[in-house]
Amino acid sequence: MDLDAVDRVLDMRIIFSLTGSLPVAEFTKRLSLELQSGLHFGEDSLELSFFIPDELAANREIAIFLAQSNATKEGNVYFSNFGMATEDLHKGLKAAIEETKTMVADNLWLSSGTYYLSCRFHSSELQRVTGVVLGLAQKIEGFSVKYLGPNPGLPAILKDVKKIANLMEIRWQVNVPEESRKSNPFSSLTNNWVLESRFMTTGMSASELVITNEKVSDPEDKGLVLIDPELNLYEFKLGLDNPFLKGFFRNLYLTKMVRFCRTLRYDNGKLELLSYIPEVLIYSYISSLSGLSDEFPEWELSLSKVANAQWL
Amino acid sequence: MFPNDPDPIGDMQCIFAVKSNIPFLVESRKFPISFSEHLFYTDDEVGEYINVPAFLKKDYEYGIFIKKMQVSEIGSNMVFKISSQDYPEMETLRELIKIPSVAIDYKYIEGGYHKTMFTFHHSHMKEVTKFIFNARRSFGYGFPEYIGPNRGLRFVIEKAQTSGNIVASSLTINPPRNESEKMKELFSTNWVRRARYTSKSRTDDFIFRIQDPESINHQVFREISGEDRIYGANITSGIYLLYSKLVFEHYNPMFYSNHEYNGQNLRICGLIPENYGGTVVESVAETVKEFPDLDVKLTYSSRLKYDQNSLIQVFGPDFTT
Repeated sequence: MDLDAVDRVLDMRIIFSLTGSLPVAEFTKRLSLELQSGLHFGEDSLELSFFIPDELAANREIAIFLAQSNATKEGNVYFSNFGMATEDLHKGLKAAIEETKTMVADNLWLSSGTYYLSCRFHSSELQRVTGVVLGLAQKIEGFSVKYLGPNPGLPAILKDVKKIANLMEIRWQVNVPEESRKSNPFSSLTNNWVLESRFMTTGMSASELVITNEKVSDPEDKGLVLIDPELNLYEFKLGLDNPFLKGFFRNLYLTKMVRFCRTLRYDNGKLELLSYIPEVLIYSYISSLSGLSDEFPEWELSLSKVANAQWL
Repeated sequence: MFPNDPDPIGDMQCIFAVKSNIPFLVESRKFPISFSEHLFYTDDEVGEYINVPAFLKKDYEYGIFIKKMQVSEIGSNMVFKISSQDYPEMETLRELIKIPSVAIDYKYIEGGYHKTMFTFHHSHMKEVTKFIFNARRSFGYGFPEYIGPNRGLRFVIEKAQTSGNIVASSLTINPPRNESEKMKELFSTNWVRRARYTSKSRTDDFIFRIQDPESINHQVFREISGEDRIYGANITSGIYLLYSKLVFEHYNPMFYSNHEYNGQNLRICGLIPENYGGTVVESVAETVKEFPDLDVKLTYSSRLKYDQNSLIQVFGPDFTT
């Protein structure tokens, strides 16, 4: 099974838009700017971060924003961990994620005062997605659907992100120790599966989509929701009782890491991870892995690829 | 071999970048060029000689930079030395060299970052990961810019030419048959080899791809990958030892040094910044003085340039099409 197995199964894409009222939205409107953003869902909030090309820092308003948000710079891009999103934006995106089982949040961008969120989902949920869209249109002013149709694939979706924040493909792998194979997610699933995280979360709860090589026995008892029996596609709440994975996700949250294509592949004791990370965050990501490797030497963490995302 | 791609003995490549507070690195950020450097490595010191290009010397700020850094002038070239005796974090490079399949392709300074481009065999991925994590810690800031398949000569040239013109040169010698037992072992089969790094005191540390592994002495050749016929050995001829000693005396920053033995001749190839090109000829001339019977032929020397996705031989026929 390839690491893009979930992407190939999610056959639909939707782009929502809604107008924003945060100061950052105000100046993108005034200056006709487009900024790529990362988003982290928490229990009661949504946190945003922005990638800002350094040529924009010549503008006084942007320079003040960068200073106030403690932006860091690598190459020619600033990364600003901005903080809370507006309530409307949070409400809208949360509903999209919680009321569906397969929707995966890919990227958020802010263009001339309007937020856009691009998601992929499985066509079996078209009716549910329609319900979410109609509900949000009634509740949120300025809400709209900009695109609904076939999924062009993650590489095509991430092309826009790459224009602003150069994306790096990072792969690494670990050997899951025998003892850990007895805990979640390894004990609940089969010996061979691919998983994609549906969104980035600030809390410890997460929702994943997983494709297994064979049927999972008693899925309901293990917290799995079967979506497509032919594909063995399930929605799964990744129980973070595994200290290694818990450590990894906690670190990502603490560093406000922005990852695109958040996939994991498990094959008989070997776990491989693939993410696309903006170049500006690569040092922070490698530092997290380094800490993880020190804390869990028995997992034998090994990098296997770091390169510019060539396919974009 | 040159001008075509030499045998990629290591199938993987990494570019590792570190930032540090070494004043040369901090100050050099102002200039839109990269600086080639070469590693030196002894039992009590690890460091680098940075090749400081002279072509910007007329630039006022660059002139001040050179004065402030107290760059040494060697012949017509300028060199700046960074040593682990002043900057202990440089010792971490020793860990890299200890990984048996690692060979340094090229070292350079770019945008204030120290960058090390090296190749290795995929079976050492865990050791390379460990080095990256440790070096990140000792330098305070570092990350891999690339880990993936070895991209070969073209990529080395593409990177290296940003610090000035690069010359590829090769020469062949007939190794004398009357040398020691060890030499007989060395020349018992055909091989290609890469010098793993440059060092004043150690110029005999190689990784080999052996044509016929059954014919070699496994006490001398340490297996790295039997399947890929890759072995490590500290073995070379007295002639090469003298030649490389002379190269060092001229602070010759030769890199990407590949050798090939075809059963008859030994061909030695390497890349060098063009401003040092003269020192190769000088070193060869002095070697021949010591070994007058040596049958030496300079077989190739040309500026190579990477442009628009192809490697161009500046003064020769186009071999890329």
